[in-house]
Amino acid sequence: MRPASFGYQLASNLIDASQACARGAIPLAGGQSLIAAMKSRQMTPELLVDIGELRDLRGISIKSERIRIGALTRHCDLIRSELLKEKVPWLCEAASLIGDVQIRNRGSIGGNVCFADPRANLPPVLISLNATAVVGSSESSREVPIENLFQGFRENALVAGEILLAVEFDVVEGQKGSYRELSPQLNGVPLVNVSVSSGNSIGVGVGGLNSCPLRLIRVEEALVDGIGPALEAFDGEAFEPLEDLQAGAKYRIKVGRVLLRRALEEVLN
Amino acid sequence: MQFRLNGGDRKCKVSPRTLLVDVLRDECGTTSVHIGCDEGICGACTIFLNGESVKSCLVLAVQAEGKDVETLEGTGSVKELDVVQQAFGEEFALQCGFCTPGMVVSARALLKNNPNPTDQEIRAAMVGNLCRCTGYQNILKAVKKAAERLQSG
Repeated sequence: MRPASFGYQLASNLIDASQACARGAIPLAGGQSLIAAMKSRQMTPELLVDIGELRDLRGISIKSERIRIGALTRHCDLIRSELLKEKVPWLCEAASLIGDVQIRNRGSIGGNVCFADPRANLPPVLISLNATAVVGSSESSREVPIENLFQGFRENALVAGEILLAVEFDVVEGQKGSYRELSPQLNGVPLVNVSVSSGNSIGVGVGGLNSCPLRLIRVEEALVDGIGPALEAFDGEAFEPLEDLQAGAKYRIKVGRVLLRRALEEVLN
Repeated sequence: MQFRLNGGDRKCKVSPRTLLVDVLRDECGTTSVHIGCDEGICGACTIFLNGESVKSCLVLAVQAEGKDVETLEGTGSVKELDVVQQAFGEEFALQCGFCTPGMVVSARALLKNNPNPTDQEIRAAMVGNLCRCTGYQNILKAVKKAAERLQSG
């Protein structure tokens, strides 16, 4: 199918883009999720603002052990980044499992986050890294813990006029991490994914177990007593996963527990 | 919109909802760009956009404004196949041929960055291109053969 009719505006600067968003426009970055959703008419926005040419939103940098990834940085850029390969290779691995070469050549980290699909690859990793979303409008900017960006199935917490500018997270010497997913197809959308990162504290992020990606705070807290208590804390969570022809809720939760155990063992042992 | 197609300048009138794949097929006549699944899975519509392989069914035509588009028509022709196409023919890497244009673009994209890929790297690079005839083994052989020929010059 073809997308329903919509208006299109090419933003030449952030103020343009923000003002369009304040009028209800949806930002178009690589479009690898958005255009697909528009073609299937799951989404029918009236106005798109193309932020693809805002070069300031591109690139990966590090300043006093804090990494900043611009929202338009593509999955292929994440995979190739020597800095990320050295500091957070499990983020590169999660990016390398998104779609295929062609999709990764266009899809961006900002799109992956803002589309807020519960099964997206990058949110669990960013949650486990205690990442911050840098969000800006023409008037102001603010920083939000990344997990607070996820409001529900494909719903993000950006308010009118706001655009995700970058994600930032601290890296620590000797930091370890793991990304695990179960996907019915090679490089397909995972049923469930889990990421664990060590650092100043251990972060645990999961996808596919609720209407949006989650931080498992109780599991994180229980980790001071070891992996066993952490898994018990996982069992005590009230997940509400998607259910579809590929897998039911119970199965996804079971898989989530296995992936969590493996990720914890990899990071902690 | 204006863009470069296989080295020449192109001007087209499009609406925002027009997909790049439709412009290439219907306006420009570059019908090597196929529409298979039409939802970004099968890779039959794979083209080069600014030198990188992308799926043209997941790109709005307006997103190609000012950019460089390359399709199969830009390199090989029926009379004069390029190295990758020649290898696909020799290794029987196609049967119906529907997926072949996308396969060839993806193979070229791989060999551009990685002239001597392992089997595993070839498979990983071709994940986004589906073939329902050959079972992929011959495609793998063809890409290897093309790599060898390109390396030996």
